[in-house]
Amino acid sequence: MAKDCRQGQSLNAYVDGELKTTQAYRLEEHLRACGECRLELESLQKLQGLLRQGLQEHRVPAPLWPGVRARIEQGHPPGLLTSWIRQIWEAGWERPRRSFAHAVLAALFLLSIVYLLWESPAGRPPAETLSVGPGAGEVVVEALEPEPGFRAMVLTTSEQGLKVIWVVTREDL
Amino acid sequence: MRHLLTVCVVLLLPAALAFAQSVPIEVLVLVASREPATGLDPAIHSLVRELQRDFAYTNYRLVETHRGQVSPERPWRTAIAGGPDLSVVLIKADQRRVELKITTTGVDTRVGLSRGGSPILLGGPPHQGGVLIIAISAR
Repeated sequence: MAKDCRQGQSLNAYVDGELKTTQAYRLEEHLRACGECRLELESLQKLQGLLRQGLQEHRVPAPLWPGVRARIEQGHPPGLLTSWIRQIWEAGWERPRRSFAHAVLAALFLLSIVYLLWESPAGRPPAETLSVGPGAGEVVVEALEPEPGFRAMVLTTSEQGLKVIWVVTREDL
Repeated sequence: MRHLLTVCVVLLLPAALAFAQSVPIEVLVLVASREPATGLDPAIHSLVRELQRDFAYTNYRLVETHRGQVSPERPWRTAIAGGPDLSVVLIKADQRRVELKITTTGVDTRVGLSRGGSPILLGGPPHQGGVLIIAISAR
């Protein structure tokens, strides 16, 4: 490009036909006087010719277009869910180990959620949860250590055998 | 999308697994006194009927209900009736039984309970003209 010439900056637009008539006229006047810009213009026109030639060589063969156009006009773009499932499916075939690891992690996560929901105490009234009776399971006091200044003892109720740890201060005794 | 899912799973899985190892507990706080008997809360009916056979208290009131999750890594703590602190730690658990370490003012104990079975009772601390009785059960 004509580095020392301001008009040289408009040469690309001129070659692409993007200049207005007055701008193009002004540039053509300049080209008549500026050899450097004329050389730059020639090289740009050659480059443009090569590009056009290359694009034409790699253009999609004409017989394919009617089919492609018909499919675009008739078909609907795949939905978000469909494309997502397709991506996962294709990834599964491409990277089976990673997909298997993802599936295991997802399954573990879902199992944890199910377990939590299953075990959640929310919503149950207290009256149904507190079981008191001989068949309700044995309570075992494994260890009992009163703090200094306190006394503790284990009482067992006479009917159902409930265990009661009774704690009193030494002053209360 | 797949990477986002993986990140979510990796971030949430440890927390979910830790939560899954925890045991739900329920703590009922009663005040037993020698005041005249009043209407009994249905939640403590069977418990009070049993206590009345052995204790001379005439009035039992349910003042608080706490529910929580205990795990070996995460003790469950609360203040009982605005007074003594209660701390419960899960020592071990299987499908049927749990072993809990219970600490409150004046005592440190370790008890084994059936899940969904009878509670362990801790009583004695004076409260509002009566005594506190704390019933701790595991699910």
